[in-house]
Amino acid sequence: MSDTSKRVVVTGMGVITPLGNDIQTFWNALCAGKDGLGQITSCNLSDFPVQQGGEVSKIHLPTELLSRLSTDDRSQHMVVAAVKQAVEQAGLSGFEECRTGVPPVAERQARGLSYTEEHGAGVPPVAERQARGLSYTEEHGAGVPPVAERQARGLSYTEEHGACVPPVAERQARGLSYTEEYKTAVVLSTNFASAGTLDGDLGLDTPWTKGNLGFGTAADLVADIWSLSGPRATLSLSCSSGAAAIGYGADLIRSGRADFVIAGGYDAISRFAWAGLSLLRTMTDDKLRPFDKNRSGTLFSEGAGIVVLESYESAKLRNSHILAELCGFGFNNNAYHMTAPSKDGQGIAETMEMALKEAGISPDMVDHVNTHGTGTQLNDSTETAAIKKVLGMNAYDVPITSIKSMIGHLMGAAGSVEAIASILTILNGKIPPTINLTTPDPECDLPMPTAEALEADVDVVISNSSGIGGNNVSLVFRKAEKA
Amino acid sequence: MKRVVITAAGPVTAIGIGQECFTEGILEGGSGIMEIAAFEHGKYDAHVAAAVEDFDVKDFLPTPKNYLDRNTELSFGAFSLALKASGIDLAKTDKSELALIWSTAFGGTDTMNLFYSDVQKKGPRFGKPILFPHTYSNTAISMLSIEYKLNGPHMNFVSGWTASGQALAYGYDLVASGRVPVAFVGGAESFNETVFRFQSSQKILSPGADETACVPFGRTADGTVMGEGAGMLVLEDMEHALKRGANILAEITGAGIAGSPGGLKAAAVEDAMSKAIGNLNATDIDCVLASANGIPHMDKAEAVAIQKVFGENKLTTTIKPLIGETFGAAGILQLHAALSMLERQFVPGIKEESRIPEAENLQIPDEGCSKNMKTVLLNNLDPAGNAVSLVIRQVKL
Repeated sequence: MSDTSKRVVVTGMGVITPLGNDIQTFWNALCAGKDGLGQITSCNLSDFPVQQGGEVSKIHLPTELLSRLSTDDRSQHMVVAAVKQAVEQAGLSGFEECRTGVPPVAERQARGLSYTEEHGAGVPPVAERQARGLSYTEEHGAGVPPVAERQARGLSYTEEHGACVPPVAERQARGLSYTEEYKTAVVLSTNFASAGTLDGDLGLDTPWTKGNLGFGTAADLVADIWSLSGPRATLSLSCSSGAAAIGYGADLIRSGRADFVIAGGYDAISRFAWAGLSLLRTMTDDKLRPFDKNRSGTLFSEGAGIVVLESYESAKLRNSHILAELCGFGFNNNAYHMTAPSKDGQGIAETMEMALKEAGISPDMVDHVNTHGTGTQLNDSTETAAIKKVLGMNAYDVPITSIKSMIGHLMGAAGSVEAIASILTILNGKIPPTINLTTPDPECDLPMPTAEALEADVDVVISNSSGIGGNNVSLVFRKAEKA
Repeated sequence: MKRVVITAAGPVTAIGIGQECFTEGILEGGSGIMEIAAFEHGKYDAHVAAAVEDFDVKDFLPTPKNYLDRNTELSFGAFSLALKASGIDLAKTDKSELALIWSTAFGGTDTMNLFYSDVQKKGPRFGKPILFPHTYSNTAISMLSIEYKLNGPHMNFVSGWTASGQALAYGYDLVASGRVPVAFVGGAESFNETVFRFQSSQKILSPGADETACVPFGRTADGTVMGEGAGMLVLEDMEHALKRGANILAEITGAGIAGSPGGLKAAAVEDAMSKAIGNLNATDIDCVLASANGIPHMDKAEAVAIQKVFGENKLTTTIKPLIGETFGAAGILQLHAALSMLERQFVPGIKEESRIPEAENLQIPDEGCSKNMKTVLLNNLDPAGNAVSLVIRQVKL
């Protein structure tokens, strides 16, 4: 069942970040070297020693979506807004409903339902299309050719289109229920989930009010809103979570467990998160200066980064714009210490090697590394050592960056937002700068743009993430034309 | 595709610690559900739980620890038991080839509450730095990695009640696809007042006052009972296992993961079961170990799906009346129980006078009974709409 040779591509992306709540605004700000960090105001942190971080500006969502979200849980708004962008770019919106939301034919007939009456957007049922003389493509732009055209061309829908609904006759002949056929999975990751809702409940002796202790709620919410009948999973691997969700999502495509995967991470600033992160002594009261000799710690932020993954064949068949190929996934643990990285960067070096091996890409083909680059003394020097170990002398010809210098550390979303920045780097041929770097550190001597974006032909990017507990994830993305 | 076998098990449950004790517990049929002793339960609308008693983490720790959350303690128990049973000598093994896949629904809730209590009552500066790293939901897996120097593929599922079922399916995929020869797959869920307060607010707990509070498929069922536990299974490429002379407990022949939007629907359960059955026939499955736990809409969806896939009169049972609903550990403990059933050719019973109409056409024994079985299908479900199924089969060498 598992087909490790199946190629996985990205066809949709969405972000909610301190530098913008859509892909274009976010990317323009990154390339311009904007600093998205400042005083946090969305959450009362007045009694904390450090109140700097990166918060997202107001998220605008249509009323019908807003009405389904908890007003107390900002993290839900971030996830749903990022998912909306990603599924719209991938063309899953509406299209998605026609694959996962349609009741089976028998049920529709029994209930006398027209598809459109029930589901708003999407394919009208065959009978209605015929009665109205509609061609699907005439009416709906992209998607399924009308039945007559398929019959004339002798096409089975699935033979031609991979990722769409088989024609009614084929479904009946194969005894398929509509919902059995095409699956969109949701894979989210988070460190703190709904911790923002726990203030009135944790540490108190009063009856439980409205705090949500569960981690899976956001994924369930996404499945409910978009009527997705695939599996959904939630992962938590501290600060490498977001990248892990994308890597596991790709594995679900390869193993045939899903046709599409909505994958990524999210986290919101909360008093609970701040209470702990403050005590870890990793927050700086200076600027966040990754790879600078005088770097003194990181700053935490909130947001979400979501991608849509599907197989290369599926994307080709439905004429999707392939943004990049996700060709390698490395994941491990340093097996060393809860809060400190291993001294020589061995763990992250091994995930880079594992991801390159899976991708079948040699280290000399790597054009760019989007680093974890937190701005802590230990991370940045060990990660530099690890990159040199993997890329060898070529490392000095491979520009790196830490976009955390501009957006901060997005906790469970960091890995997925940085993966999206990596894809944007490939698409636009620009490497975003690492800002606030004023005093070079001889231990962090790899090349990187520091004021504005560097124009470069980038075909292959490694995106690194590490986290508390010692876990590491590396993802390798490749340019679509090379896919 | 590699054949994937189970070569060791390490359950920590209210009815027994270690696979032998756990199996005996299932055969005896005494419930682990008791009145809650850990805290004053009078102010809540539920009063019983299946907590793990007589568990001392010191028995399972290779090196002493200053502080551990209960979730991590249970994880160490399960890991240590299964590792010992597996006969794998980590000192002589390339650990980068061993995957560690862990799971929990709620993680270190006890420590979360303890840590945040100081912050709430005294202020942020009074939170104890030593506690915070133990509040993460990946604390248990991280500490296992560090303790046993496991630097291979590493993944932590927190998907809710199906977290450990999904972890098993992923471990199965990693071994079946040849990416690793061995995967340690486990999960843990601790019982404490914080999770209990939360679950009580979710209105899923039975108000029953004794061990009869959990009546899966029962007409009078009014909720489930919280359980506690952990488990770990060693999943191994069959060739690898044979080569090292490992004791093969069973083969996993398939795993299915599925979901339904808007709460658990029979279609999701049907989908997961069909995928787990895979190339086998439904008639090859001798018994279904259901996820049923006394939450009416879940039990109903599952009963409908079982009938849809297997037809009438399918032999079906559950162990939830013995160990309660263990959330993030439920899937892994289901698989441990399925191993016990195959090993002893035994089907536990569900004491209940009257069952829901959807379950009336299932063959559910009232009392535990012997049965010749080669293949068992087990389910792991959650109320939000997630479903996982696995099929295990005896291996005749």
